[in-house]
Amino acid sequence: MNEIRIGIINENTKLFKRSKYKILLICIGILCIALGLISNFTGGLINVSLSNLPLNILSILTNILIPLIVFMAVADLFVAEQENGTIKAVITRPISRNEILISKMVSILIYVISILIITFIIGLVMGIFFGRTQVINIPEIFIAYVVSILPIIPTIFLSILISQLSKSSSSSVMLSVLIYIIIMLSGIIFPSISSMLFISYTNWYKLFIGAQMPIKSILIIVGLLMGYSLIFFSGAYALFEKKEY
Amino acid sequence: MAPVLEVNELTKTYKNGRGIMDISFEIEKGDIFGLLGPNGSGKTTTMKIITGLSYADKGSVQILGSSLEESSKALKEIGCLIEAPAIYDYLTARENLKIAANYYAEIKTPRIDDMLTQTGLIKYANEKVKNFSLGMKQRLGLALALVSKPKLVILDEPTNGLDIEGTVDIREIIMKQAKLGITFLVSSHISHEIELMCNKVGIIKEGKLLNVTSMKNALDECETLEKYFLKHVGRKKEEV
Repeated sequence: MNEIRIGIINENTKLFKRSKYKILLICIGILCIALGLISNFTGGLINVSLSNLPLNILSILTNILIPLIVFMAVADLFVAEQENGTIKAVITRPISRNEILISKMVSILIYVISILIITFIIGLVMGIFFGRTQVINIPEIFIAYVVSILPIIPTIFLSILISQLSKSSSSSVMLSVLIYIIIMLSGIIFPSISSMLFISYTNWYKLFIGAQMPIKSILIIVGLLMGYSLIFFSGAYALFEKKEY
Repeated sequence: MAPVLEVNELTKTYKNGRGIMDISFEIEKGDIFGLLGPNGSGKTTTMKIITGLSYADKGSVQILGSSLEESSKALKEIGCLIEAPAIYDYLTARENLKIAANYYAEIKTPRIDDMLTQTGLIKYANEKVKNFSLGMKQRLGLALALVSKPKLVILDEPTNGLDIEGTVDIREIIMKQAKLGITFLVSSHISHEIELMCNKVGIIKEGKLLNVTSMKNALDECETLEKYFLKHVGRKKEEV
């Protein structure tokens, strides 16, 4: 456990010290502010009314931005390190390969959580500042942000699995995007399989903010997401363990 | 006393048919063991297997009696510099060392500063590595290999691409550390380097370890290590 903890500290240092990830956080913050201002001064854009700004931002994040950021971070922490040889700095230390894989995965998740925290705060402040978000709604919005973390986990593991099959970081990102789009389209083209795809649950927070919480559906979705995570993790681990540098 | 490193019948064949075959040798505490051979002879492959970067088809590696295959903890006793230094160029020299030191609970900040001082990088400790010269990166690579107070340090062509001054500096650091009881496995294709640095030498060619001897024996036999190498690979100096 201690090795994983150290691994997470190190991987987070690597991620947060890179300029592009700092800039990305700032850009997402600016995007939230811009969306808030536009919807306030235009009286609400399509789907972006100020009263539910934090949740609208959450939808944009979980459906588009976060998957893209995940693919980029995975490419940087796995494939780019293989390309430039810095992975050797980790492999030759007293930490096993499964601990390395888990620590890299968790640090990507921490980065994603930091994005969610920033957007939650900005969205909420803007909503309250312009007097459109009710304080009574804050716990509901908070729950929506917290539960949105779960569907991101299989996406991270899928991207790690793809990265283990990729020769370069750019091909890892492109392949991840392509496969993500294919899965997304297959859910649209074949609605009958949509409920079996993990991508279909990026907006599952809606189940938590209704008048009644469908516990059974929530448990089924949790099981499905965990199942996908386990399958992708197993595949990624098998390939990562075998890899030679 | 168990040897620091015990390599038994290490064999690995790549898809192109090259690799190493039945490599066996031992290194005792305080030795500077030189692996001398031409490019592509299997030096790096051997070192990669010892450090867990690559897997052998056959054979075993024991580090202070612990098998590398059984536990990654055996890596706790190793510091290494394989091929180019594994450095994050968007971090400073100190941050690179801190990341490495984090894996060892007993390694604290004074050790990081000590390594920066010993490698002559203390002045540049807070500079981003992307601005470093090749020599400075190589020194940092050596500092990274030594920061954990390892019992065995594995260096693959540590003076590769360095100027005369840089080469001498690296050699002096290695010899100083060896006097403190650290064991070294150093590879090179330059016989002069090995001759100046090592007290034992193994000649490797085409994936086979042809001969292992003490430097004294090699020099008694052939005057220079270059002649010794040529004699054991079966070539005369005029043919080179």
